[in-house]
Amino acid sequence: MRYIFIAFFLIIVSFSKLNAQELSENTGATAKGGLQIKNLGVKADYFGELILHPGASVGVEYSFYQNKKGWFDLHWDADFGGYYHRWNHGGLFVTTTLGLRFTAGFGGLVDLNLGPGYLHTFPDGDVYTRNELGVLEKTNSKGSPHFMPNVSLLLGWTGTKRDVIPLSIRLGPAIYMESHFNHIFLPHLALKAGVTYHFGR
Amino acid sequence: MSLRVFIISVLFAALTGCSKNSFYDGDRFFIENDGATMPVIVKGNLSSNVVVVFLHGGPGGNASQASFIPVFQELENDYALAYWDQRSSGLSQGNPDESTYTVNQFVEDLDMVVDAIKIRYDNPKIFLFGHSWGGALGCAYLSTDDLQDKIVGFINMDSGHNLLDGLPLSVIWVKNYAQERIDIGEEVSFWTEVRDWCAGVPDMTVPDNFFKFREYLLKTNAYRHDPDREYETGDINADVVLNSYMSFAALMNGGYLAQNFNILELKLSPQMVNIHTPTLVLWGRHDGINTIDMGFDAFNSIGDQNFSDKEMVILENSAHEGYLEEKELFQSSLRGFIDTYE
Repeated sequence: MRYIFIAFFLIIVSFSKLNAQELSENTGATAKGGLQIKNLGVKADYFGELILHPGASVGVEYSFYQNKKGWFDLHWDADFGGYYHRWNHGGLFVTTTLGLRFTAGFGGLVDLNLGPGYLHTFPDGDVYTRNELGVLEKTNSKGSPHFMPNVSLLLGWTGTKRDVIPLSIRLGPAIYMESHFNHIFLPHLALKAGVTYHFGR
Repeated sequence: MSLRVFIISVLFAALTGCSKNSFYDGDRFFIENDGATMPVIVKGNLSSNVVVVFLHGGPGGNASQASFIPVFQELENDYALAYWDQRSSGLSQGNPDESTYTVNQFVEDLDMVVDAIKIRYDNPKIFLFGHSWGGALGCAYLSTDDLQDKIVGFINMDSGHNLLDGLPLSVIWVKNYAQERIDIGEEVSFWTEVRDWCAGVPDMTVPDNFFKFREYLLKTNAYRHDPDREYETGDINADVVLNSYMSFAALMNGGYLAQNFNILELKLSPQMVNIHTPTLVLWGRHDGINTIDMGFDAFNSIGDQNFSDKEMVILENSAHEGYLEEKELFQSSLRGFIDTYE
């Protein structure tokens, strides 16, 4: 897992450097002075752990590179969300990812995202523990902290070149890991489906 | 796909998620102790005032999956069954240190499960049903201090309460099985390797030897006397995975525990003389792991010479998983025992 992350980030960093000239000339996406609102998007997603255990996330994305013809861009995302797996656990998470997005002329897109995150889980049910006197009693669990590396592959649509719309929609699987969990990286499968509003369009 | 259809599809998925209440008939709670957060799923007839606590095998097996097996679901009509996933097993959460992988720790965890059931369900009559490692855990619990005073009865099935003496017998069992395969000309070179390894009388207190042995064992009929038969194991299908409390944890937990919880020198027989809880010993005649000799060892070890509240039922057509192999006899034996002592 660690090596996948390192490789992914190295690819993105080197790609950005190689194309820095093209970037500034063609898109202005990394103009001097930093962030530009036109490259920013806000998004909301359905986040279904094991597909049907419901959850949601909200976040932002910032596109920091787009190639000349506009069919490829790199973006950074930050998300905050949660989900509920009945009788098992609930989770709150914060993630940050780097993404590669390919967009076709008819507006279809493929978006691959990878990054780390933090997950805090809570058991879904009453929790009993012994107090200092050794008496069993119901208690409020503080939950468990976890490292949450995650990857998603989303398919979507973002309007045609002729009919530019400020929205994009997407749907696809996400896999995230929960660590440490009984000394393993516990994999989770999730369904992400959502919409992004792009300020720059 | 229009945006409208897309949104409707997402909403439909969200609304149907977790809506299959049949998977959620019953109750659940958690025990938090020394780094582990362990689920206890309680299903069945709570009005019976009898709760049977399922002690799963392993170490590293799980009870949550057993809640989908018909043989146990049918018993839920008569009693409440409490499916407890032990630390680092099944759906258990947390990240307990491996220094907590001790018999005493598991006994302490079980005692919390018992106390929680008493608090939550107004002091019902509690029976322990332990299978394999779970049977050993039951033996350890009942022979520790006065803990058995909380328990009405104990069903001990094919327990690994005495692996120190029992595993060498299992090695002999596998050696004989291998010889039978050789005699009928089946995979002769492989079974010759197995026979010769067993004939070397390996030290079964050495984990590497045990793990190698287990690979051989899994190729025999030590677990199910007739492995070709269809068994009602309960389907963990896509519907269950997507709509129930199950998760990938049930598949992936347990491995670390199994590798790091050494019970190969476990020998509880001497301390089992302290048990005076009514006990039913259920054993498969053809069990290749905890052989029938260990069944007699369990029966004879429980209680002192004057203790008579114990009986033994041998499942003549079963190996290690008699609850699947002879479901009706298993159920009637268990019901008869509980009804006698409840």
